[in-house]
Amino acid sequence: MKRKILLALLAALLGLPCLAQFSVTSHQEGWENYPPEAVRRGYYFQKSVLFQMDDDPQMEEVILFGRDNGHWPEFDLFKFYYVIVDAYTHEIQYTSEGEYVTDHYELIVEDRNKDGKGELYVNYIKDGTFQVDERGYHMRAVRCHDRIEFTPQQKKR
Amino acid sequence: MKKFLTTLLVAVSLATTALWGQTPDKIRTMVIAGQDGSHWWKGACDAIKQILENSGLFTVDFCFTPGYNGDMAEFRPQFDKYDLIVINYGGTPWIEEVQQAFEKYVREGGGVVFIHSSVIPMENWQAWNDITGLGAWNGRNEKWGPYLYMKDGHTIYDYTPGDAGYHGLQHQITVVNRATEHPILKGLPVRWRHYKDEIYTKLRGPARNVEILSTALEAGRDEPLMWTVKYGKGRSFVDVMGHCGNDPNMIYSMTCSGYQITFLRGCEWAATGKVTQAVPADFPLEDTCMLRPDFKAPFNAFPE
Repeated sequence: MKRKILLALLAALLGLPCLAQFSVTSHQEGWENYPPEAVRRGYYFQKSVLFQMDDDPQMEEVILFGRDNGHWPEFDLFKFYYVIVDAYTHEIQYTSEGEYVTDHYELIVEDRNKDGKGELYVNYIKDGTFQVDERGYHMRAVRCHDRIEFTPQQKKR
Repeated sequence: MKKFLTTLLVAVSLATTALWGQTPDKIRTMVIAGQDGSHWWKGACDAIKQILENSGLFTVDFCFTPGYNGDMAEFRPQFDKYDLIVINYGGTPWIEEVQQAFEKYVREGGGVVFIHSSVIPMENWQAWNDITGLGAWNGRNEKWGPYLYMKDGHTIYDYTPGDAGYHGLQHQITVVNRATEHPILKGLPVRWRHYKDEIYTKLRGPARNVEILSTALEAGRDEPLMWTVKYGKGRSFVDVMGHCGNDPNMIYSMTCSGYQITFLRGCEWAATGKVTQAVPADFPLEDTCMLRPDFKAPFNAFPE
């Protein structure tokens, strides 16, 4: 009996360092897509696009995180924010302030001013406020349009 | 003699008037609700009551369980006083005594209708799983039975291991009626547009004595939306449409006329085994949603 207990303890002692090593070297799910610190609590990855966003030859990944913010008969509402990550180092280059409110997820990254760097175009509902009729139809809201042009000086951690 | 004839005439007149004025028996219905963490069950109950009572065929009583922290022993519905039980419930298990009474009620010929999230709770109650036929979430997996769906017109019993239950964002969907000769669906358009709803997929369970009534195409599979189950002498009608969001009054899926009409027909069938309701003119088309926002048939639903 004592022999069995000793063997079990020995196995446990050997197992702990092995587990620790496994934890360090094992694959971390999701890391390839986005660094965990980019994800705010309650938000989920929605979509992303690779684009050249700065002077660095490495591409950047522009990521949209969002979550449900209510359902109505003719539309849904979401909250969202953007994160721009260096596609090679996974270093966070930019995180949008606060959250936007929208009724459809949109990730538009284009180089409209032809300077070789992309701009992120954002559509959202002003202050997240809107009006509907007594049955929840016919939404009226002020739509805002913004542009995020990433430069190294804007880097945020 | 004259006095006798006058008395007879009055008696016959009174009896005729009484018989003439008598309304046909309505289907006595009990709606069970009271707990559901993901749905506005009070709004759904209000809609259910209006849909049923506005049809003129049903009377509705509610029987609510205590809240989540309440004593479930207080919940003791009298099933046998009703022709039909409508379940709009997604909460904690009923006590053993109530479970047995419910099983007995259905086994001996009672009618029961399950709405939307009612296929989620009480996953460890075998008879509940048998009466609903299919379920979702709450840890259900291959141990509960196969996935059931249709593909290329065939019914598939899929024993692939995996969790039960999935839904994406709410959306409109085209419903395809499969059992077109079933009393619930007979005479209705085969394909119709259902208004915005939360569509459950990846349902699995014992799937015994199940007849799939209608499906919707989701992720390459024709997933069942409505089905019936035979349990003992009883009839069960399950309709996983009818999501009512946890935003108050978000009961728009139930405003769909197709939902209301199939629900009414399913309720009548579960209670009596037949459907006497005519097909109304406001049933949705394949590409057009139709709504009954006041939960009653419009004045021109049944043209002469």
